[in-house]
Amino acid sequence: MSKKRSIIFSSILISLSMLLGACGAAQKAGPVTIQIFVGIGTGDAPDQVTLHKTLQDEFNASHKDIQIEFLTTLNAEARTKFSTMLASGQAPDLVMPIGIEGVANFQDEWLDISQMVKDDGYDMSDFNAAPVVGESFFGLPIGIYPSVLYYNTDMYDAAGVSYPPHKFGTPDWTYDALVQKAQLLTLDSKGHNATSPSFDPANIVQFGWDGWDWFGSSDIITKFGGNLKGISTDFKKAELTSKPTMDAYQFEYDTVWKYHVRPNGEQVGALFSDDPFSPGIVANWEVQSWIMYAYPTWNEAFNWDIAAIPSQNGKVVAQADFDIFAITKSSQHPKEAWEVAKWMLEPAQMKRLAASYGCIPSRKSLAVTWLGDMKAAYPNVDWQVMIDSMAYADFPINHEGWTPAFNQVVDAFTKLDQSILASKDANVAQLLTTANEEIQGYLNQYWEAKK
Amino acid sequence: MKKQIAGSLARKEAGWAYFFISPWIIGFILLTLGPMIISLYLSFTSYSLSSTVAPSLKPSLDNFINMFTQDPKFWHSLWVTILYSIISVPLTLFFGFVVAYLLNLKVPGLTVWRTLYYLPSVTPAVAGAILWGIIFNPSFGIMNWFLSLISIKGPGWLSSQQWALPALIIMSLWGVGGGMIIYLAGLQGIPTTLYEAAEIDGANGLQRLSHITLPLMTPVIFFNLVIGIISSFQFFTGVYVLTRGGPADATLFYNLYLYNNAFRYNQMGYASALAWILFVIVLLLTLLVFKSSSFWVYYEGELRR
Repeated sequence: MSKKRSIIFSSILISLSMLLGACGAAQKAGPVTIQIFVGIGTGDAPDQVTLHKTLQDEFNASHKDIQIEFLTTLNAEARTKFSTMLASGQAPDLVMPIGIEGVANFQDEWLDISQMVKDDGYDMSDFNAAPVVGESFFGLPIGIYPSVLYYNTDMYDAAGVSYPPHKFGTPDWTYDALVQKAQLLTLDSKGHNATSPSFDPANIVQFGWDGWDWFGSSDIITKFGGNLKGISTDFKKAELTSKPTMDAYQFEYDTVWKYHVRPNGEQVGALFSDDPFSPGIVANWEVQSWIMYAYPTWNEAFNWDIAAIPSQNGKVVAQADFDIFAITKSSQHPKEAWEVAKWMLEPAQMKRLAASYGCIPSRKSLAVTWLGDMKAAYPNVDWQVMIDSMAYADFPINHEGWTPAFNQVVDAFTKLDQSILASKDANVAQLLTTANEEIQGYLNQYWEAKK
Repeated sequence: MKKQIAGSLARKEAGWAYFFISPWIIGFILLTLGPMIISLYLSFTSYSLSSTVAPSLKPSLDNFINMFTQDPKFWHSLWVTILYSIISVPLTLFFGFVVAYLLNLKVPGLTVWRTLYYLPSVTPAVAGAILWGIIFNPSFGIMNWFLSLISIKGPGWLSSQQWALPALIIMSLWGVGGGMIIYLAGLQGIPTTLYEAAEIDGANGLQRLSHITLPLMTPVIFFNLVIGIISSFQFFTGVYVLTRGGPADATLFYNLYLYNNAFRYNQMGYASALAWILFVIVLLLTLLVFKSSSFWVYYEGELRR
């Protein structure tokens, strides 16, 4: 390359660099745009995307200084995309909707909104649940998904078994009582129930209970009086070999391999392609209300109702899920993001969002309307049970709550659960000891890195 | 003078050559080489994707020491991957060759068969995995239906600790079309004069296969072996879609564990270290195969001493 050409080439490069630099440094004039990231929780379904677009248009038309834009990603790839955005310094301002588990996944990334709530004197008296996550206050809930016991009334009628109680705290309504009912409702191919000496566990065609099939396995520990995920409250010691955890997992083992009322791992894979209730071969199933998308399918196949969650050791713990919003700590416009969040939580918007997400609106005033709507849509179901369940919700220590090394701990519990469900020869004590060592290792690693 | 002009022309030509390949060079540097160098550096750090927690970027050997001494999942995932590789690579090599051999015969509807066998190779991996999920479904999948025809009660496949990995190995046969097309090209490149000469000498079909086809196909088998080993160690999509490493870590492949560390456990530094160890393993295996090739790969026209 000649000297002349080198000079021209260098000049072009420098000019381009200056131009790019100038573009980067330029401050945009006009309204602040708040980017709302959707996908970590629900929100990517076509009708939800349409609603978000409507809300975006409404908000942008009514606000001059703040504009919003929804960034919707598929749920399957949302976490990876969000992580990448965080790492590249392009964090969105708001994430909505996001569950407690989603928040826990990115524990260090959220802004504590306590001060903004205080400064605004924001009225939270109409909200149904204290929206505290761990020790910080990350966001108010749009909606709540309480858990209840769904039951197939046709199966109860056919077996002549009395329905489970609808009132929470009914004396003697315990998990042992549920197992007793479930044994009568579990049938082999010859019609023998699980209490019969002729019962053949190798040929079960109807299960009395599906256990906590769609819960995270560790969620049951708090039902048995243990700490969140069997870890000490200071999150430094794994306590999976403690009595509550041992009892919880022994109970799980017994329901599968001793009482045969719930399917084992292979049967789950074989029988259920979607929710376990839909095929009409499970009599009872405990799950959160986000399963309401399946109600129309159930309605076509059988009659059903909802009952109270049983107690264990005299206490009812009804795992509830929440859809909240959260402001990212690295947002350039946290105050504007808070304004957007408040707008979304106004009754007119919350009602539409909750209906679209399938949750009970977190405002008490709207929950009453929700109850009326559900009664009209499904008149044979006792929807009051759902409302009552909120009083027993696991809050503020939520089953999806944060622990150190969050996903590693979750994976260790998944492995534990799958091992118990895999084989009758599973040694619960041994498996818990192994899982305890593994989780303790993660905790040690986490706290060591914090030093 | 002539020499000077020739030199100037050559330089000019080289300049244009670089100009035309510059998009690739820029892409390679920015999107491949650059990230590789950065990931090598990150493998010595505790870098995470967090925007708020400052990671320690001080280089140390901690990741590698922990990997080899304190991480049983590293060894487990490596073992699962090796097991998969040991079984699936020979299987796909064998079936790919058999299918190519059959499709090289003059059978009716040849182009249709070739298209059908190659189709899975151009099907998106996720779609293929979902399809196999249906095939392996114990209650309505055709795999257990076939087994029921011979009075065998099929296992739970993907939900069974014993059968999940074999199921993924069976699934790997779905990809034989990729190797098949290369075998087919190789088979069609074998001079027919060799077969004619062998036929005149009285060689039967098996002898023609073992003395002509197989020796002349060894470079193609070698190529497919190298590619097969590399892709088996990079296996990810199928397991991510179908089992996510379960049940109880029975299908925790190395690449899935790497992904989990990067994007689920937020340990990008450790994930980078895992990636580099994978690179070294695959490199060593490839070198080993290359080294062995002098004993079993025959190149036409090659002079052996």
